[in-house]
Amino acid sequence: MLKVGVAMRILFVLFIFYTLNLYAEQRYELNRGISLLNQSSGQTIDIQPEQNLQFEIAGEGSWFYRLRVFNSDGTERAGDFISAKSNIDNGFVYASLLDQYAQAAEAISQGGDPPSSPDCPPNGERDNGTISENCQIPGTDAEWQAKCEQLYSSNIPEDALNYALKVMKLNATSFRTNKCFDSQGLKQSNHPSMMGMTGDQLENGLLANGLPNKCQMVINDTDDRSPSSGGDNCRGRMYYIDLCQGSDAVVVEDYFNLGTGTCRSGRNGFRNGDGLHTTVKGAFFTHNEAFDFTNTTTQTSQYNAVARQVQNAGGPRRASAVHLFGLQNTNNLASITGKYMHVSPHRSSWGCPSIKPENYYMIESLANSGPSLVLNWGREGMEDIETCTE
Amino acid sequence: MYRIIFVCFLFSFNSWADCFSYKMKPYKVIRKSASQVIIASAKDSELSSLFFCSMKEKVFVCHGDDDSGSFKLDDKRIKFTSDVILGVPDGPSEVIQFKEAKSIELKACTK
Repeated sequence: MLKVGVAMRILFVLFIFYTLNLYAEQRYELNRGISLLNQSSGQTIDIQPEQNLQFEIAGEGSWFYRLRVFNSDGTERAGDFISAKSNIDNGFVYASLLDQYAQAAEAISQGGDPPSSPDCPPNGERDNGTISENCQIPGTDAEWQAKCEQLYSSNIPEDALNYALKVMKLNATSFRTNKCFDSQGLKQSNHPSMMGMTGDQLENGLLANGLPNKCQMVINDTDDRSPSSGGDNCRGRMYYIDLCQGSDAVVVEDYFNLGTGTCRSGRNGFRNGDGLHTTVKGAFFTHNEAFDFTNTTTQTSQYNAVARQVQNAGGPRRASAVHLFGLQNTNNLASITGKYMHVSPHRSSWGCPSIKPENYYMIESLANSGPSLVLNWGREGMEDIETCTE
Repeated sequence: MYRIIFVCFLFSFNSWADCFSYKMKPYKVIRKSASQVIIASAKDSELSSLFFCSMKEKVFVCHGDDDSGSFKLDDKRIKFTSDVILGVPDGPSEVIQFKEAKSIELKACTK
């Protein structure tokens, strides 16, 4: 009786492997759009069901499937394509069935019972080893995307992270969030912060192929007020993110200064106006050259001291600053009102997201690899980024 | 036509070039360069802000950095378009209220 049971199990396993083999040669079609990474070229491409492409699963890694891609006429596309398992499971016809068979075969070969249904994470939980859609950004590779996924384990509020990644994705290959950013005017090109650049050069030159810097970005959480502000509520939590240094995602947490119009009297809220000393919410792109904040202020002696601090910390002898271009109706006066990201000796600002002098390298890095993304985020009052996106 | 525009521009620019600072009690309006203006408190020289200006329709339109406010300026009049703030964050500051000072005649001009 025991031998019959063992034989039945072996037959069942053989049947499963036979079935798997059939599916391995099975071609699949899409039931929704997915992103593919071509590892040969490093390019990410978005594929829609209407393109009538077909796919074969040629292998798998911990979080991805390796795919062969066929055009509608049957010819195979050249390249080394991979895509996240979550994509395939949800986007391929039969793909989840394939996974279910694989799990059944593994369970049986280990002497257990086959699972009654595929393991799915409960709603809202993240499945380790998968890459969320937000992290599947054109122009990034698998390593970048894996580090991006690590950010969801950091202290960055998930909604803020999602917002920032959405801005990055929308503008990954062309400048699409261009409907609101210069409607209120930008600084003149002869201003010390503009380094000779015009709005046209920004839009059609620096950003012509989308946001260049996908390595470093800054997210400022305007809701998380640091106790180090001296009790006057004027410091928020800053996250400096680097997805290109080291083997893991780098997240540096520190403070940024809020505008006194927002944090002291509070009467001006986050209004996007002039002479209000407000912090403004929304997404910004930076200039690609840093400048010396000493040249734009009458606080010369204070900022000369800051420049020495920066130099002593290993940086250039200047009060590092970078121009911010607000992309939304909630922050598009930032350029003309001179709300820069800069190092500061103060415990508050007049609307600039200023940071401590030792963090000068963040500004220099955002500028040198820029334009880069800076986000002033809050749970309330964020404009839908699509409103300003074509 | 171009000559007329050029002469108008020269006239406008020269009227600025002849005059480096103005009295606007109790403040001083100091033209630092062709495109930079400092407004300072007459009582406390530490209370000041730097503004950057560009010519638009024969009038200089000036914006302060670090959200210090904005105004329009010609050689006779300053017209505030928002509150203007002098001073520094975390330090003493002085606000020239937009509502109370929408348009102020520049009384005198000194070099």
